[in-house]
Amino acid sequence: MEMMLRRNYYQVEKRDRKQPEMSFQEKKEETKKTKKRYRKATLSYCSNGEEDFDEHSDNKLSAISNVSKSFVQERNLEIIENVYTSKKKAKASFISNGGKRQGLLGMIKNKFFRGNKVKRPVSEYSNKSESNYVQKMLVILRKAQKHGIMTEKEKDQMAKLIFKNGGFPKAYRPQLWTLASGSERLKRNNFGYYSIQPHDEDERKSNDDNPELTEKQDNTSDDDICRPLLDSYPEMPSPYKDQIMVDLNRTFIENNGSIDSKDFNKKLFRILLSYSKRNSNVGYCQGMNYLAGMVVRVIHNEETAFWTLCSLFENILPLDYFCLMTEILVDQKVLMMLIQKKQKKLFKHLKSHGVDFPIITFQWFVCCLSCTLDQEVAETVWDLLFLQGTSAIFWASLAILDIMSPDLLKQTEFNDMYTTMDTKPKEMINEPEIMLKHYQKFMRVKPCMISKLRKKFREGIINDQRQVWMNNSRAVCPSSTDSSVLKRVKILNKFFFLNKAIRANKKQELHFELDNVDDRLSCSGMKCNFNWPLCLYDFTIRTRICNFFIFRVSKPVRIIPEYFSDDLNLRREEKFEKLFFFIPFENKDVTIYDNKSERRVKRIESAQIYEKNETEDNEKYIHITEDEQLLMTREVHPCVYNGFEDHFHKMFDTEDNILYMNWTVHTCYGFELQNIQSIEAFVNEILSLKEIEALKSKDYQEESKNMMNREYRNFSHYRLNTLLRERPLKEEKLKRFGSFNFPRHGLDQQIWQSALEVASQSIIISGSSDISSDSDDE
Amino acid sequence: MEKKKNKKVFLKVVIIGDSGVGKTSLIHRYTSTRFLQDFKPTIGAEFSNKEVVINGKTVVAQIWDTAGQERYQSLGISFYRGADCCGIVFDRSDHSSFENLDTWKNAFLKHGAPKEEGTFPFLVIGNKSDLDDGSLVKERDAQQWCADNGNLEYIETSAKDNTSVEEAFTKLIEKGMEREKVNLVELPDRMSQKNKTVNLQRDVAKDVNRKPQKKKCC
Repeated sequence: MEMMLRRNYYQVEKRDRKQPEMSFQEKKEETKKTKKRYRKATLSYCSNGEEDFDEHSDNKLSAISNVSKSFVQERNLEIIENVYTSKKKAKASFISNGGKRQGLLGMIKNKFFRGNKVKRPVSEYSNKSESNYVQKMLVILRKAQKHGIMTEKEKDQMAKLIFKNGGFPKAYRPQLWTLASGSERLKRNNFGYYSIQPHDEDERKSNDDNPELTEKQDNTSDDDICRPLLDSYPEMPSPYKDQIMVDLNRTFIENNGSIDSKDFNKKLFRILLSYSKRNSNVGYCQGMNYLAGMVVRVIHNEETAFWTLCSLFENILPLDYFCLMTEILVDQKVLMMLIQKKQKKLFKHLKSHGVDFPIITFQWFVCCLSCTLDQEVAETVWDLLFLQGTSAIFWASLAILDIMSPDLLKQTEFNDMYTTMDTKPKEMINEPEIMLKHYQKFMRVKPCMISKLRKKFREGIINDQRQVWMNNSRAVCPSSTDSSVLKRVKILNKFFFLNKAIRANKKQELHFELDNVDDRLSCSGMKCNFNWPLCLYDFTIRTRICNFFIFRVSKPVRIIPEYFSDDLNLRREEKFEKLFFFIPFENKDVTIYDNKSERRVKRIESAQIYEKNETEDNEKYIHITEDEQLLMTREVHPCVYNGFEDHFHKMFDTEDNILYMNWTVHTCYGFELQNIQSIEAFVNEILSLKEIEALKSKDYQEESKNMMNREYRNFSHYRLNTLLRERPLKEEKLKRFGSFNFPRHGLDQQIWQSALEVASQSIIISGSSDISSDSDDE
Repeated sequence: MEKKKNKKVFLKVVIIGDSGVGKTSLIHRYTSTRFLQDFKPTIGAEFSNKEVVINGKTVVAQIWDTAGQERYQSLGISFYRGADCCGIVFDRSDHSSFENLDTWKNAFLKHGAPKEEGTFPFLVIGNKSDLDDGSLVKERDAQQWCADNGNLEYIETSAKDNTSVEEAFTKLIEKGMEREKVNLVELPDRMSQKNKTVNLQRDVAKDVNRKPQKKKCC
């Protein structure tokens, strides 16, 4: 009889899939309809078997519950969950009515459509074999399921229950992670962002009662699923692809015997690559594979896993954990401080023997303890990580050290201590209870204390890092005052993409890709393809207008949301004097994201940022202080807006952009790949352009003017060139370029300068197919 | 125990190179004489020990394995300090890893800050020689690069086939010993001396001394 009900559901589901693309409104209505359909499906089943209601009513109700429950687990469907709980309400009411014969159909109908609330004790609808704590946990989960996210209060409660219970039941872990991280909500709000199920998916076998089997069937149709994010920008191969491939086969090899490792790897690959496309600033960092692996091991649904990971990177872990790794280094210092305070004896002992904590703890933090601990224990720590935020990693790390301290104190050899810290936690902490016991000890270290310590150490780390990157010659970071450095960054930013693409594509058809780059880059008429991330503007200031980035402001600012909604020109006239930073994002409401939580992250989609004037306190502005962070997304290409061009040119031209120059902007400008070779290659590429001839000739000014006018009239950056040329700074500019500390490797200085000159005028972008022919050979 | 220690020579060997070139495999092959088909990417740094007898002396080589990905560099540099010798590994089947030798060498000299910049013992190791599909980095090119960069020594290895792995490390350790010339060093002293140079620890210690009493924040 379960089969029948299942079949009903499948039919509904199938019909449901037939709506390919829907707007949000349509989707909302569709969801309502779907809910009704599922209800009907249940009801029609119930009514079929009404005759034998008397004897088997109880069995039947539980059977219905079981079917819909397993269905819920398989599909992660909130809709059925409603049906399922309603059924239980129905049963409860049946019992509270003293078994009064009411008719199953009528009863369920009653509960569904009139929504009578029946108060009942928790124990009545929970499995009796589960402990009281687990039942309470499930109640919280069920409540949160409706919203797709847990509130802070629910998280607190849940954490307390986990401590009381000594762990969290494994079976419900996927739900806990999705709800605590809010990925369920993200997934719902971003329908079709990660993947779209095909409408003509094979009919499932309806007699398949094993949820695990169904799960596997889900994955076999991998190729049919459309993945917009993964397949986006085919023209721009991800520079991280190779790295991800290399790391893929070395992620959790020791444990994945239980999982179909091929399938596991495929999922992992898609998720990581998709994330590198979502946030190209972070891209992929070694260690992220463990985090993703951890999530995929628990959450089998690929899309949910992706969103959980996003939530982890973007909301839970501090910013810049993986980009320049500033925060991880900061956290090492914080942890050292905490060890010093809380475990004085151990700290002294290890220090006197020369053990350097960061060697070991760095790994702990990068992987969020996923490879340090036994799987079950690590998952428990992650439960708490999702519930309590990053403090959980500190507490857990302190707990590990606490557990191991008797051993460590006995040892006197550096090697032994290192090995103990590296390998022992897996053996010694084999039960979540042990971990939780010690973990609670350290919860006295309050999160606000941790954040205070972070703030204290951050500046030092940033300075150290700046030293490293600046001295390293392969990376360039913007300094706050030197305008020549700013220029250099601008130029290198242009190069950033090109170089990456060359590296990523070196074995493949680079020629082909770059031959067509000309067509693709032309934003003539300001009509860029939305999905094409690389228009002229991107190319010039790619790291500034990326699809997605987060930053911290260096001083209080105010933001005007919905910048484009009014008359653009009027606004600009009026406000331009005060313009501080301009973000040409989509014209949408500003949604303040996670405002109530302590993290204080705000998400905006389009805005103009002004320096905050203390006298002003207008409500139409959003005020942002130094502690807060901005999270910005871009969904539509900015150059579709009329007037963007002007803004862009102003932005490129004026050097008053403090956010851009300031290190505290947590985007990365060029932390990788800008080594000497690449700069040389870059120069060679420019030299291969025919424009360089014009630069060298005597009548340079005349000629170049004519040529550029002729050749680039169609390109929208024509005006940029004009602007640049009109400035009487030519000599000065050359001087500035000359003062760069690039190693020149025997290049003629004049040519070098000319090359930079060309670069500064963004000629390479439209520089025709010549780019490709030389770049591969060099 | 104490007496034994005094007779040993301790060497710090640092292995650097691009990600995925096989640094960990090489070290693992050397220290445990096995080839790991499946191992985990190195995060930050790891280290292992190997005791060998070279020229009649017992040497404890402390081999540091560093992460290859570029963004790990700001951490990696703290491990360069106090190194006695350095192996730069590249993947012979991956030309970009060969091109990056320059950067690795310079970064090491910059941040490891050894006293003798010109003569510091480097060994260039071309790994994955077993993958012979005709497009490997040629020995001639590699030798040329080494000659151009202060007559460094070059060796081709394969961690998979165990070709010249032992040889490479022995060479590296010998070079380190030549440089060292200090034969009897006690481990704890040296260790603490080396690690004092690590930024992170020193700074924290300072901070702690300044404000030892601060306990609560809220």
